[in-house]
Amino acid sequence: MRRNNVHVLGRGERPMIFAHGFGCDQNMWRYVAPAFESNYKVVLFDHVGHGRSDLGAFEPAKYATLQGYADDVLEICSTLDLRDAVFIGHSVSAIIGVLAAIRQPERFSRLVLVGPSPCYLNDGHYTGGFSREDIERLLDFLDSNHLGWSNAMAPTIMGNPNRPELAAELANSFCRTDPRIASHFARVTFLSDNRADLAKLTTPSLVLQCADDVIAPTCVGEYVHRHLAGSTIVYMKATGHCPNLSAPEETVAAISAFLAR
Amino acid sequence: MSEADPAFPQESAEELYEHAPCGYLSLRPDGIIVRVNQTFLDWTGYDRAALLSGSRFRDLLSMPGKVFHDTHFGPLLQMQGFVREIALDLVCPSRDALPVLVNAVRKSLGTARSDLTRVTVFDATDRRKYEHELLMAKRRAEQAVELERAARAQAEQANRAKEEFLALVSHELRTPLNAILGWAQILRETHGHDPDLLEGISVIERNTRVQVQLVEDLLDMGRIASGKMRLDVQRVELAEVIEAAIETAQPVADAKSVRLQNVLDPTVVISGDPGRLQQVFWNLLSNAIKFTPTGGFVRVVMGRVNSHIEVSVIDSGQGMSAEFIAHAFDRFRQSDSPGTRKTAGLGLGLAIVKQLVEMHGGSVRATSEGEGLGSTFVVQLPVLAMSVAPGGEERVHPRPAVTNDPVRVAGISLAGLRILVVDDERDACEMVRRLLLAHQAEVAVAADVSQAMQLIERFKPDVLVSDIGLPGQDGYELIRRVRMLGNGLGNTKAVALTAFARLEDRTRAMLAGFQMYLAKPVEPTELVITVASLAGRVR
Repeated sequence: MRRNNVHVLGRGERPMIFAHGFGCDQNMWRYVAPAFESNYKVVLFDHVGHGRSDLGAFEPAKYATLQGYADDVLEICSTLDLRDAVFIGHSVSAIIGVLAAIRQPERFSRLVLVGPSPCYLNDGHYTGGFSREDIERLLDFLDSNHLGWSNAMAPTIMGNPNRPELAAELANSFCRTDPRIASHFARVTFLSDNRADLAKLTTPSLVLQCADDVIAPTCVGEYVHRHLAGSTIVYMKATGHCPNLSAPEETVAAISAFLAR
Repeated sequence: MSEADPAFPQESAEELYEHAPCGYLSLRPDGIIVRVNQTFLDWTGYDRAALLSGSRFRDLLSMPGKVFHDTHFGPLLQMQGFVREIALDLVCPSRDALPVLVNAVRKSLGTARSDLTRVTVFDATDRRKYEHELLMAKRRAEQAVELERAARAQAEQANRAKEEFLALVSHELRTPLNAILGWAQILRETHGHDPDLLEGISVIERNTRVQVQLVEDLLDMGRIASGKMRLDVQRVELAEVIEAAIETAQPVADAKSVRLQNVLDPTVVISGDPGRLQQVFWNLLSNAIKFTPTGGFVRVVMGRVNSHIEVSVIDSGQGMSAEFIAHAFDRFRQSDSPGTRKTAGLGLGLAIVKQLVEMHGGSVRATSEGEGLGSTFVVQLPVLAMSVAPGGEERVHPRPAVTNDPVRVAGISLAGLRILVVDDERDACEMVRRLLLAHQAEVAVAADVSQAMQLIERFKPDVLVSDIGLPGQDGYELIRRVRMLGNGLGNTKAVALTAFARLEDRTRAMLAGFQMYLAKPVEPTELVITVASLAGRVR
């Protein structure tokens, strides 16, 4: 629990697990999670290597595939004795949720996949959105940013006269991540190929597809929808890869509609 | 400076904005560009009207830049209100992608919908080049470290294989020698009347014995290198051991007319393996005799220096150069260069001496005034740390030792002392427990660290006797945890018991927090005396 900096909030019985995606931590859900606190037991956590997780728990071998992260999710479920949970996974965590639900279906009743991609690389007739060269350039580029990472990503506390309530939170610093782990995670994420796993999922799922998502393009979201039995796809007005930040109301509405069915 | 310097023409804010040495952009919350300065347009080649007709900042980025923007830049800006020093690439209509460094801050204009983001853009072309070089250098360094680690592992593996081979070969060499020696003896008895044959048999025997010794040395070296050398530790009267070694070396010395002299202290008692100690001094003596010319002398002198016993083996031989002394205890090293060897041997003797002495917790060093001026080898061994003094009660009412109790050490009572014994080996633990019970101590036993920790709180022992090799956490960990306890328990006296008898093991035990250290198998007298001494029962 300390390893993944788990927080349990909310007044409901039914569990709802939020898993952050590539590039940030559980802060990503700050505009979405509160909407569900009155009816759900909301579980927030950081993947190992991110946010306030235990950096010492990082083992390159364990986390060399997304299954390592999925196993952590299952451990959290087991520790909290969660059953029939709603799992909401953003970006790479969408696939992490799929892997977890394949392994222990009884833990999950619904999956919400926000901007999922089972494979970022183009492969024959499959369009993942990235050529091998794109991925190499991207990983190099990320390494460049990770060089100065701690500086840029763990900013000093800065007064914000217009948003005083932010000041306290700033002390925790957003999206803290160890540069080595960030680089490793980027490689594991962008080189992953979990297309073959999609058919194994039995849990009902919702694909939330943004417009103009460069990381998980619409054709990828549709691929996921086609290959997940019993899935629903919702095309959002929100653009980019993070509707949980850029369009929280629309995101909450889409999730609520799916869960109400 | 509040007042403008009249000597300089006043620049308009507009001029400062448009031609500042960095790009400026203002963005709506959805990323649409609403204002841009001239510098940005000059650098990138974009047309102002085109940019301001609904383009978003993110549209200007390269693919990796877009990914980073969407996963980091955007989220951070939204959640913390600013980002600093983000590396991005701008795709430009008129030139190659421009590497830039971007800072951005959100400015609230009342409502969230009217928030404005101010973005400054710095040309980072050169910086990116240096960063790339740094990154490459870092990767190369990591690869080099990885390669070196692999090479070292390989070398260690090869070294182990060599040691194993050495042990095997030595063993195989020894077997036929037994047959040769045995048959030489049979022939001597049955054909002793033929002088030529007798002479031949003597030569065979002598040479075979030399060969046996060489193989024994090789075997010992192999055992030491593979950590399989075990000491049979007991109470040793050192003078006796040295006398035995002298006796063995005497015939060789006589043959060479080298005089052996000694000054020994018969009261010195140490804890050690008598056989191995005899080997140490025999090796030093035969080494000294070997390098001492006819008519010379070899002298053994024993003395106490602080808490140690020093035994010096001094010869009047050829001496050693300073540079040889530095390597005197290396394996396969002899003072003759191979072409001019006057003496036989593999050069293993001194290496074995050093290892054996260190296994006894001692040290050995060599000195020489120079070539031709003789050599001195000094062995330092720890003396038994205390002498036994009768306890107060025993002095008033002297009693004979309890003869039907073989482990009873006369004259020592541990009555009233609480002792906790920690050992996972049940037989060893029971032996220690009975030994301590026989001296009237109150004894509790534990098989692992967690049991021991519980007992320490409850039983509050005066002395802790702990094995080092325990399941899970070891004895080092136990004593570290004990030393962290408050309320006086942190100061519990502690003795370490272990089968590992090297100097570094002793050092490690002491550093971890034990006061005393005893090698297994434990000599009963020594253990009782040590416990009594720690508890202040002996002086």
